Amino acid sequence: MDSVYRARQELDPEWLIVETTGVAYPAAIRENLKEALDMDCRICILTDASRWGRIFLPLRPMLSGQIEGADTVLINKIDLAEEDFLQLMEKDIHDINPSTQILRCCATTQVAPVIWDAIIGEV
Amino acid sequence: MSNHEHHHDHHCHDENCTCEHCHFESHGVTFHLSMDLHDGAVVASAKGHLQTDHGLLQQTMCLALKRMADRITAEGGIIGHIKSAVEIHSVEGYSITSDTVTMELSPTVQAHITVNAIVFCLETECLEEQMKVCLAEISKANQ
Repeated sequence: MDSVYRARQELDPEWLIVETTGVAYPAAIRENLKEALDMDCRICILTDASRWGRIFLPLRPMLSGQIEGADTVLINKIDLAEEDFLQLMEKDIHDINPSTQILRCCATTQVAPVIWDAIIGEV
Repeated sequence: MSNHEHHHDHHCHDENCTCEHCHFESHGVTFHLSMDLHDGAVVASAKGHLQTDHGLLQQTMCLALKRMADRITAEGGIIGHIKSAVEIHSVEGYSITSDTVTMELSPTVQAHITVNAIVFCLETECLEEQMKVCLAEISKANQ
């Protein structure tokens, strides 16, 4: 909160991007920012298609807690997964958060502008 | 019993803590190593300083982190992330007395190393051991 406050005071940015640790619950951070600084947030969760099958069951409580508050969920590394698996992964995510927008991407290719628009809530 | 005679967290094991549990000595390098639990994840953080060849350090870092990741996976752990930052400080000297500038490059650099790991499904003691092995590999190769 202190860092965000200082960034706003000193830089007054249009957008502030906060990359949390992998064990953070962004929805809780959003609540804190709203209550403490009256700042609105959008939450984008980045998932890894190449590891989803291994981590989803053992880490389900944490992953669910992270995805529940997400506006958008990016499925990254889609080049490393089969289409059937990606559809299954999308279902897993939708089961947790039916209203979130799911987008596929791959960092080895250029990220489509529509994805950036979705992340900032303009689509 | 003093706070330092067992491993319960009765005091703040921050970077300035001097208790044995917070420090790991290996091949002449003292690393500050802290372990923590965060919402089901084991979090390890290490910091150290050494003087070495830059290229050798780069190779060592890649190798040591890869080996640690492999060991953690083999132990059944799920890696949230293992990240390291290396801050490099080097000195170059330039001098001239007549018409030619002499340049002196230090063969070694001062490196401030941090290694952070967030791992799931692994005991704290196991991750601590894997961190120590990793740090020992780094310090041994760069001694």
